[in-house]
Amino acid sequence: MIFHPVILALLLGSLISTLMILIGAVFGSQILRQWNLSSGSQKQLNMERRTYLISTFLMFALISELLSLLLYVYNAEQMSVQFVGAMCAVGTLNANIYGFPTLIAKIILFFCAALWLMINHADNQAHDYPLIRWKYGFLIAILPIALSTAGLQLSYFLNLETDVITSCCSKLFTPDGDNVTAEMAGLDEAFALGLFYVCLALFFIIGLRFYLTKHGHRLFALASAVLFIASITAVISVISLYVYEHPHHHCPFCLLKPEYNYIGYAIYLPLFVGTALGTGAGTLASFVQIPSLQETLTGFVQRLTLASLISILIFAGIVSGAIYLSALRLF
Amino acid sequence: MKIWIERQRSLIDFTVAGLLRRKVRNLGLMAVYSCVVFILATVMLFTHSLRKEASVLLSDAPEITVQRVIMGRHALIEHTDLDVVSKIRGARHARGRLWGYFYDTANGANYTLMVPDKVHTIKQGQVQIGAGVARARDLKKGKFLFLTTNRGKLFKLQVSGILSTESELVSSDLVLMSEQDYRNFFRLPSNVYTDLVLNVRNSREVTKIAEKISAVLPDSRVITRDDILRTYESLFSWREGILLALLGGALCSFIIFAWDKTSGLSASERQEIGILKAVGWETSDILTMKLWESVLISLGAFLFAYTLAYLHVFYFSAGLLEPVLKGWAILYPQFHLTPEVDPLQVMTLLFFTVFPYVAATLVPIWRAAIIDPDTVMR
Amino acid sequence: MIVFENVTKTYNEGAENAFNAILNLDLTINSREITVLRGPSGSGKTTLLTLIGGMARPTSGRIHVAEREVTSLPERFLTKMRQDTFGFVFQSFNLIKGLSVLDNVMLPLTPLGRPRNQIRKEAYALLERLHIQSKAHNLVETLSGGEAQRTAIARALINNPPVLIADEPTANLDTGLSYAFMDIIKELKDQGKTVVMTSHDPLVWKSEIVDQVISVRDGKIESNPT
Ligand SMILES: Nc1ncnc2c1ncn2[C@@H]1O[C@H](COP(=O)(O)OP(=O)(O)OP(=O)(O)O)[C@@H](O)[C@H]1O
Ligand SMILES: [Mg+2]
Repeated sequence: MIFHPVILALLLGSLISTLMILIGAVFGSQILRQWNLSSGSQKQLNMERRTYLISTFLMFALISELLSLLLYVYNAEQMSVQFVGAMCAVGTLNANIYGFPTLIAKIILFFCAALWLMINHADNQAHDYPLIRWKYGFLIAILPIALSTAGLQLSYFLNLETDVITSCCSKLFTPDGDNVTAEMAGLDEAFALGLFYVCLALFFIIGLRFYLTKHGHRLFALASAVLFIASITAVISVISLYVYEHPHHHCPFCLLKPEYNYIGYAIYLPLFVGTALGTGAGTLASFVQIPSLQETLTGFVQRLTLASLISILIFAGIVSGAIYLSALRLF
Repeated sequence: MKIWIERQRSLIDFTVAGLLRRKVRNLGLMAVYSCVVFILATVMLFTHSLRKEASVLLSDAPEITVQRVIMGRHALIEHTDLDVVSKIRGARHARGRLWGYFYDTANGANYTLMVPDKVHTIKQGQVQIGAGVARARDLKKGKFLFLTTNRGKLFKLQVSGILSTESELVSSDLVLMSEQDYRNFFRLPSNVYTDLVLNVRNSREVTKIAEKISAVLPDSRVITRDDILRTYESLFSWREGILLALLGGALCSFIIFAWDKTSGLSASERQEIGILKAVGWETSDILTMKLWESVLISLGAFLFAYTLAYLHVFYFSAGLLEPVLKGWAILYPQFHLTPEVDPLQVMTLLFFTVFPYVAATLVPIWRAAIIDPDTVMR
Repeated sequence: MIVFENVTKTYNEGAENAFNAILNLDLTINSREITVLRGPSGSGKTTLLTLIGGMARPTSGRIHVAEREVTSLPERFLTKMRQDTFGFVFQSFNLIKGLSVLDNVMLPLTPLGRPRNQIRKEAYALLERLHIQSKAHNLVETLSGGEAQRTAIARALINNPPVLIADEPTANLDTGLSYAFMDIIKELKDQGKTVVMTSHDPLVWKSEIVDQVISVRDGKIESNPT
């Protein structure tokens, strides 16, 4: 293991937030068994009070996951000088088999925590905690994700040795590899770009329909998730080329570097926010039928949907702007 | 949204007023907190800029260094080896270097004696010395430096210049002299060098050429610049990490202290929260307010301490940390590091300080927030 | 109208020292009336008051406030209901030391996210109505008993609640101030507010403006008090 302050910080952060989720899940199992709102017993009162603690924990875990996601990538970026063959974050993440899975797990955990907080918010608007079992069931389901994220990260750092020769973006994101990333990078640029814009268009059609008619919430949640994957694929396969103005440099991380005006943050932030809000809106809409939620939830879902559409619009605008302004012409 | 912002503003105002009402206690807390952050930040800023400095220095170091190894130890390398290396295709500017250490019995300091790359810059009988040496021996340009060889022979060398303070971190203990003086001083034969260095025409071929050298000179150790860079990097990170781990202990006790402070609410504070709840504040209002309190305290202390550490490291040469981080060198350099704030580092430090502090206060805060509103009726 | 149906409040429920402060109690409090709870010390008046005002939850039974069942409301809604419906005046006033009179009066509205200027204006208006506007910027620890109580009343009225709840409001006042307090209560009644108080003080429960006197003994209502 490399004894590095950032690594210690990341481990500390993941330890704390995992512990919080663990406590939340343990409490969740109690809720599932014993929750009874009509009872005035001390036990019920204590349980209700504890829900405040758990929401705070989850809020904290969400912020911590977001920061640690940034820190993780950023650290990988900086540590790349220590690895033979690494030029950017990709090389560092590739230094052992846990690097990329950790990243993916962190992203999933981030979305889960965001979704949980949205459900929690909706639940708090109703007079009878209609989603309480749902919410804590979900929290219990998040626990394995949180544990494996923490485990993956720990394994990644424990197995990180500087004397390995790693392969960096120039190798990983080249079309002639045989892994998923290579598949992504190997996509025909025109096809990838076309697919990306088709996905965007579909997302907006589905989203606007949902916003205006309140129909098709599952489709919208699905569209948000699909759009996220499609966008990441597009970033790797073609958008990055435009940003780097280099026909073969496929890398989703170099975008974050100052050389490219930190455009990566401007691209990823609205994408992540839009995806989180979109999946949240779609998921929450399935609870609209609950009588005590009907009134408040409709408005909340509408706001989430709108915010999601706007975020993705910003994302699309920035990406299109980058393509338009690029000196590179692929077609 | 507007309501939300207004609510937070009101709560923050209330929190600040509350903090001011309990000035002594909160200032004490902030002082302890600031101390912890200050030490951590100093260590991190210091090692970070040392590392930066080292890598800048190394950036114009030769790409490959060849050392002869006998019985596992560094030995003098011969001129013939230089010829062999020079003939390798792709190698450029292969040259022998002369450098070594000298223990000065006069003041117990260790100097680094060295022949500079461009031989003609220093004439025989002259030296250029680092600022540390100049201070230790009280020398100025034009004065004479007297060195005694191990055999007791006295060398008299005129100081032709003192190396600029810009690079004092590495040059502090340097004594640059001509090749002839060097060989005479250490009684070296004329066909040996301390080691060989060379540049490489195409930087992609460094590894290949290093391999070739190993093949033709099997009794040598070949070190590339990237190796050194990596070693430095991990050495500094390692030192920093160890220090942080040690300080982590201090941090832990501080966290316990914070927990204790927050959970041991004074009677008047409990009373106050009870009143707030009785007049219609909700548990989450209290939670939010108290969270703001934690965040304001920790972030405030953080910013304050970080600024102090910044000034300490970059404008006061990290005076408080010198002995710890650099060993007890007598020729301790007095230098100014280039001020630099690295966002990754700030975030790391935040993770180390604000994050655990707030985390540690969550449970006590929550406990305070669930006080029954009817407690104040009794 | 506030209606209690078979309400029980047990302290330390389940423990050895469990204690029924209120036991199977039925009660109706009419709107726009003044109700006084009296009874010996320890009989459960304050407990009853906390139940009426939604500060504590009953262990069993139902409480309806304005036709709405409030017993099983989540805490945030119970608090909301409390903010909308009740204003509290405490026996020991419970003002926060170190804050000015004005800040104390504004406290209940602080977390609601309403513009501060507006809140401040309302608070001033209330202080004027209670004739202590001149003390608005004084710290509360410098107030006299009567002024402190009026500050407490102003704070109870800041959210314009239909019901005012007061626990032993005259216990810390001399006779003159007690009469002054009853005048304020009368004024509130004339404005159409409901008032519920506990009191040992005959000056209070014998007052002609009081519509209903409820005697509490051992957590129950005494039907024919002496
Ligand atoms: N938190 C508590 N835990 C345990 N017992 C309590 C608690 N609060 C009140 N009690 C008990 O409940 C009973 C009723 O208390 P309450 O304060 O309602 O009486 P009261 O009628 O207001 O008396 P007083 O006239 O002295 O104010 C008392 O015996 C008291 O000891
Ligand atoms: Mg009482």
